Amino acid sequence: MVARVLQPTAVDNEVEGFGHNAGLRRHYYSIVFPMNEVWAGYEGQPSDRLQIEVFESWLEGAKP
Amino acid sequence: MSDHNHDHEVSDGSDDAPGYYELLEITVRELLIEKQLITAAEIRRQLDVLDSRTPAMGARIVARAWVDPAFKDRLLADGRKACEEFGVTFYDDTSLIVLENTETEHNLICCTLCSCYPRPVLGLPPDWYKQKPYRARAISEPRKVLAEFGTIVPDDVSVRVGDSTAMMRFMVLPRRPEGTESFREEELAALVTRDTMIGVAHPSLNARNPE
Amino acid sequence: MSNTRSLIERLPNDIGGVPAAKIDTTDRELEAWEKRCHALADVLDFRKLINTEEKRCGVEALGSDLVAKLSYYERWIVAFANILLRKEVLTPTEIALKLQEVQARSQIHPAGTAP
Repeated sequence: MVARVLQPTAVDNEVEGFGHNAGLRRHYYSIVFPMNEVWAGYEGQPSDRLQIEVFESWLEGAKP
Repeated sequence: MSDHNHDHEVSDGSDDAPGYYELLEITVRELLIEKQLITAAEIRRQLDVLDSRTPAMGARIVARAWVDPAFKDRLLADGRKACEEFGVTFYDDTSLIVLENTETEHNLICCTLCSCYPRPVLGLPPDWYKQKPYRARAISEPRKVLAEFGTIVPDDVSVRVGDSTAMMRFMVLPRRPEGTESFREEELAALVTRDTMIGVAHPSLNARNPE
Repeated sequence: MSNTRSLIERLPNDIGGVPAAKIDTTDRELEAWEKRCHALADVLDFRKLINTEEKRCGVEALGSDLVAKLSYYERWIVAFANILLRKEVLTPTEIALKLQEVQARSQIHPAGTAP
């Protein structure tokens, strides 16, 4: 579930690690996952969640 | 000479000769200064900036959010912009997402890959935040981690862990303690410790910031 | 030999969800050199000599042994030296000579040198 789209577009930090300064710009998405979908055998509540940001190039568009 | 310079020019009190890594730090810094790639003044200035950033700023922002609902809405909508209203300067392109603790949700922040932390509002992170046990376990067993800090989250409250993986930084907006209705903003801020804004503790009337 | 595959796929800092020990919640003040190291990192970034992501990459490149054995700022300063060497901003000889000079100086004045 997308919690929010981060504006403005920003650099790909993975690529930045290799010495480019301000290369390719795309969006980061802040995404929420249920904990029990991330970890097998998660011990906690089913409503517990993990929120991370994912660069656009890692996401696929949802099929309509 | 100000007290500030005194801190920088005298050792931290130990009489031991500097260790290898300190010698390496001095070596790298002096070489870069000699080559005029950086200046000593820049380093001194940055040390002052680091000293100026403490959790007290975050505490003031939390206290304001507790008393001013419109500010709280702005803070939750765009954390960075709301903090900039307080004169906080962000030194890079990161954004700030403020996670609000409620009756039904408890938030915790971490950085599993390194040590990303909302430094502009909280200063430098504690050792445990940067070390393997917290980084490995906060995202996979947050309730156990919270218990190690003495914080128990009941079953009817869900936990959300915010892991800063790139351009975003998180901060927790803790819940205002009961019995503080008559408190002034500064008194409220005194209840808000660094750990409550990381999410490992709740503000309480028994554990205030030192005067 | 599939047990080495995870070492390749998961960098030493990619530790989310791995089993780990109890948390040591004690607080401590940073040592003066550690704070200077942090200031150095910020100035290197501002001066576009080493950006934050390069620093991160440099720390990861130390490998799992050093990452485990060195403390937080020890990893940073070694990473900076490595990156500056690779970029040919500094040479090994320069570092060796200066290190020798700083060490000799520190034995006369153990309080260390600040900017």
